[in-house]
Amino acid sequence: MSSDLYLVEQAKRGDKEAFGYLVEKYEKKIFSLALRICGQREEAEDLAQEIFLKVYQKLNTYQGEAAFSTWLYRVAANTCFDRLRQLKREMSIQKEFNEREFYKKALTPEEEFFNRQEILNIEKALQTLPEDLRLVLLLREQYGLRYEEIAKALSLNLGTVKNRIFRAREKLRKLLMQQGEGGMDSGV
Amino acid sequence: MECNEVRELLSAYIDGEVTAEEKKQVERHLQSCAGCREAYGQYVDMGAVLKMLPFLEPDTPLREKVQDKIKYKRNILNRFIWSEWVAVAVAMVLVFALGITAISLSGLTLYPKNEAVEVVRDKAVSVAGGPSEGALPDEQNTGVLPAKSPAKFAPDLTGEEATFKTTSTDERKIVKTASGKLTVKKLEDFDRWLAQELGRVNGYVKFSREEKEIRELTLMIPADKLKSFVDDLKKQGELESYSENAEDVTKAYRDMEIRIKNLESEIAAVRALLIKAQKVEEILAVRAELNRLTEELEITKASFEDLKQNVAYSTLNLKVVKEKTAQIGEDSLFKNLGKKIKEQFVKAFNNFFTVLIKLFFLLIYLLPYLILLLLIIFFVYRFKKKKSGT
Ligand SMILES: [Zn+2]
Repeated sequence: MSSDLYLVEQAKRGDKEAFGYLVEKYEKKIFSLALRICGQREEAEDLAQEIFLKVYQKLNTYQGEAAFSTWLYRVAANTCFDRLRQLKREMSIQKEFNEREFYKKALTPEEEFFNRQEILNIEKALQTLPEDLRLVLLLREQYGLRYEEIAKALSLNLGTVKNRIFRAREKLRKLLMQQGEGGMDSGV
Repeated sequence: MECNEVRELLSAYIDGEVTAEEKKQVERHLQSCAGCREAYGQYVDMGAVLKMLPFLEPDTPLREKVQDKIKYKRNILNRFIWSEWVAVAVAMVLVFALGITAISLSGLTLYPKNEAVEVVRDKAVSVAGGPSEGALPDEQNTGVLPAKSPAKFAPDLTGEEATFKTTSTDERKIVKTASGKLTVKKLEDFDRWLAQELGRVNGYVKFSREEKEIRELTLMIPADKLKSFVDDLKKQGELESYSENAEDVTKAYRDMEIRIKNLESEIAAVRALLIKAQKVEEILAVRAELNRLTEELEITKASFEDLKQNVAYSTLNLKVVKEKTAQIGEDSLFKNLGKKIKEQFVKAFNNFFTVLIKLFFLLIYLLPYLILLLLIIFFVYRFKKKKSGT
């Protein structure tokens, strides 16, 4: 039994600490997704908390059919999706990418494998992407979910997921090309 | 195939989400179209950067915040079952109950010398007309007892017992055991007498072993008839090494009554929780608790019934032997030796039996302590398991 499954079993039995470990383990991954969707730290922390609370509530529906991380990302995706719908109703202000909101610490050597500018460029382009496209692309590329898993999490059909990922890629590609033409700006 | 059609497939192709047929189509198109080849390269590069995007840390760790909210969001039931506070509360209640038990126990020396005074007081109460409980069956108290019997009672420790006709809530609960050896002339006469006498006092044979010239019997005699039974027994032959032992089990009796009441109300409370429970695992948890309590109640009730029975009926271990014709010389020496050995054995057996009964009641007294101990062990185990749950 993987340590995740063990912790999940313990958490299901009401072990608060076990669930605490799970939160600790996946905190950065969930917070990052939330931040890239919201574009703003405070809101992202709020959303990440909501995701974990939802995970806890739904824990009993997880029966080990997929890796826990996959299941977790699906719940996260679903919660983000709901949040996006709410936000759209309330207000739709495009937030511009703010490097300080994202990178408080210096990048690690591993992250420097791609140069800093390349990462910042793609972060900026991502923030310009419509949120629903941004979400599916991140789920696919960064979190490794398959189309079917994304479709289930967001209650979309497979064709729509496929089309959105394509549109996200195409748009991102164009945005990056525009950035290249407009010179390497600092992204602030 | 047009480029814009292929691009969507191209995206799915990168993700490995195409059919074998589509895969062939895409690959064929890529060979012939430079524009799509460039897009393909860019998609793949973008993907590589996206996969390498760093995971970012929140300003403050989420763990505590989330845990706090979960604690708050949890429903009452979960708190009831798992919260350590409940464990602490239960332990405190038990310790409290334990203290009370210990205090009242210390005031209850096993057989006080002034027992007679207490008995008199009890009698006064029962005469004052406080019949209740009915630990002794009523029909046995209604004058079947020969009129002569009370007058014949020796004024010893247990003599008064038989004059109780009703039980009161104040009444002491006594478990009596007696043993002795009876030598008779004809076993057949004894058997006939016993059958009659048991019918008279409403007693019964719990155990019997018959040999050619010996009967070993364990008789259950209604507590209030023991005296008259033994008096009649003495007329049947020579009664030797007769002894009686009386054990005051009032405390254990009351404790059991209270425990049964408590368990019953606890079960009712848990039943109420079951109705409120919604999630499957909540229901299962409550069921498990309910089963545990019910089982405990049944066990307690069974031992209570045993105790009641022991209070209502006195146990008489009786050995009946046939009188032997007088013998002379060495034979009689051996006979006496054998008799002495037998007597010693009976004595030892009686002592053993007494100790056994005392141990039994000691165990009942200790039960709350044992339960507390188990509870503490259980929660320490849980606590440790949690600590090492990484
Ligand atoms: Zn083409």
